[in-house]
Amino acid sequence: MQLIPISLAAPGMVLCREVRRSDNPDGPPICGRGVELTASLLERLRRMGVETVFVEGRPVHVEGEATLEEMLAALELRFRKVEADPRMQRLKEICRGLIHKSMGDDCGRQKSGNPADSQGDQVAADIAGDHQQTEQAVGKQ
Amino acid sequence: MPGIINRLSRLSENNRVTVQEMSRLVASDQVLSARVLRLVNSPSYGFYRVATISNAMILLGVDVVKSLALSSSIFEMMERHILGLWEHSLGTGVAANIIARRLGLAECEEISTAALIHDIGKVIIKIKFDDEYRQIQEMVERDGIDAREAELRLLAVDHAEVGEILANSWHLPEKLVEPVTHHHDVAKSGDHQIKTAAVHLADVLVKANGFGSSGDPFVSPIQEIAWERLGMTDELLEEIAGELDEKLVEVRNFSLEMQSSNGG
Repeated sequence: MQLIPISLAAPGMVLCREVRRSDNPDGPPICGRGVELTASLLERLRRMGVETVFVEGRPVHVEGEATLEEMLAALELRFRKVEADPRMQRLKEICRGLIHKSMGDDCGRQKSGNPADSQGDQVAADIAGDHQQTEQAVGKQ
Repeated sequence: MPGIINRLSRLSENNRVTVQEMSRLVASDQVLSARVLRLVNSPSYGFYRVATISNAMILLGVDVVKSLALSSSIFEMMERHILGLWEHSLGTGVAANIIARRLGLAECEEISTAALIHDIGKVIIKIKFDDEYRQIQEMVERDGIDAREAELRLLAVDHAEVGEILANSWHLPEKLVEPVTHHHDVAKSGDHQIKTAAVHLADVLVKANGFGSSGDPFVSPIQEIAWERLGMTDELLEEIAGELDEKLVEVRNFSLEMQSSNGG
């Protein structure tokens, strides 16, 4: 999962959290999680004043951000003193799984398909809690 | 600022102080109330958009708001000078909140607050003994020992004890002092062992995640007594670690927002 400014969001990325209006963060979501962004949907979100979105995987490269290999090496290093503790080894494996997930190993990488499909148009209209497309979006992988 | 801290500290000596009195005092200082509200709106509590001190008092209770008011200037120093520790503290507050809610523990907000301030003693060491603070960091890196061990060797006191002294000087309630004092040694805690266990586990989970920097490069084990007192299971551990990982994205964002608002 990555939090990115809307200016860096691109068609094909998949929302992993609901989007709410920044002037009404407690109000109903304006777009459901699992929805694949399209050019027109992005334009709508921008017009509604949305500034940031959570997207699946890590589609935007941030300068200086650790690579998957670096993150896994750091994980090994910080668990070095608890190698003999089975519970801590389990915790290490949980953390390893979370690192892989956050780096988009199993879901949510930016897709290479046609970005300007029409899915997004109906999405903004459907608005709240639209989870139907989650499987669809992930399934496209 | 020190004036109001003294008044707050004096007021908090009196156990019968009312919500209104405390709210009025905190709200009378704009800088202080802004700092407290930023902390109240941090991801550690899961409330957002708490706009006034009196609302914060209602949602979080007098003890929590008082603790945040008294520790807010220490947090500010942490944020400016030891950013990694600030992120570690925020992360531990969030982890403790998740643990407390998942396990249905009483006084969630107190547990989050104790977690938020658990390493406050490290800031005092940095402020009062900067040379030693640097030496401690060098010893940790060079000799591969825990920061706590290095502190004891060099200063004959560790950050947990320094934190205890500070929290007691502020007259914080024992339920907040004990987790600060014993977060590295849960067995030594007395009446508030569950809260101490939650803060201990939160500390370990944030280190395990690699979020922020507590000053210790190595993850320490989850103490058996903490595991038992909390009634933890492997399944719960996995659920809590997963929820924490998601929440930490928000914490990073919160920390960045606070830095940019400080800079601007």
